Amino acid sequence: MKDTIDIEKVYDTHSRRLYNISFRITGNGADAEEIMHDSLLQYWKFRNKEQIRDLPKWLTSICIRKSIDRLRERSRWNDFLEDYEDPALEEAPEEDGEYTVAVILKALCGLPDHYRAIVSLHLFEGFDYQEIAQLTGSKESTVRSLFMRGRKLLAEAIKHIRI
Amino acid sequence: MSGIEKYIKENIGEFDAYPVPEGSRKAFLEKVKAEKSRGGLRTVIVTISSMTAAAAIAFLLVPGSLAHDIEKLHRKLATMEMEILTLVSETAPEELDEIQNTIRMVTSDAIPLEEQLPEEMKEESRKKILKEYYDIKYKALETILEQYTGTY
Repeated sequence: MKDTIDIEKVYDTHSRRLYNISFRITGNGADAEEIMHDSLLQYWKFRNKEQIRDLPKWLTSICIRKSIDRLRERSRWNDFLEDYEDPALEEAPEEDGEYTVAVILKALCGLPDHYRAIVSLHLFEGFDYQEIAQLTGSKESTVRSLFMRGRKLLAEAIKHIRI
Repeated sequence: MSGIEKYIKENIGEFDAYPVPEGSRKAFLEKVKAEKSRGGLRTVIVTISSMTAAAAIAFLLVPGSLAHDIEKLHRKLATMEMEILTLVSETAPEELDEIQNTIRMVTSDAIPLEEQLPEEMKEESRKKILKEYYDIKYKALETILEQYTGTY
């Protein structure tokens, strides 16, 4: 009974944040909900809870890994990375105007999986290129290039949504 | 830093904008409940496995010091088996099956070695051979324990 009450508290505290993290990576509400559930279930089943020093960080890490795994399952992630050729790095165009949370999220969700995931991990979760390379099993140079192109696509998508 | 990056950094707290879908909390608690039932079933399986092992030991009991040694060797293996099965009891059912099969391969003998040794062999030699034989099995179980609980 007690652990059910505890997991309800953990759910109430962390579910929204985990749902949004996964949504920004997967771009899909149903996937994000399932991954949020799975992450919290993993915590509930974890025997050595006293070893978790920073619960938000622990849950975030589980949630991000599960979100990346979901992308791998559905979007031929590894094939894409193998075929990906680093283009000459382009500087993102200078953006202007006002932004809103809703416009940025809408533009982000419209990006192809690989760009969305890497842009999201770098801009929202604060991972550097090396960390993203480790998480996704990619080369750091590929991550950097994907981020540059992803950021450019994001800027274009925002511009398009505004119009 | 671009304008978008600056905006995101300054307003990061507002980007958890989407509420979780309606009914999600209830669906999650249903999953917890389902997991609890599955966990209970696995505990029963583990308990039955351990009881079976204990019963097998009881049948091997024969009067005399060699029998006592044999019983100790089997008890040591059964304890280790129980420890592994308890530690992995929350893993997925298919993985649990795999672990149980691996343990069975290590611990089971069609004919126990103690029954295969010639009767004319001296008791001390029998003890030595049996100890070496069951130590190998025990070390194999330790490896299984390390392998599966290391990923826990």
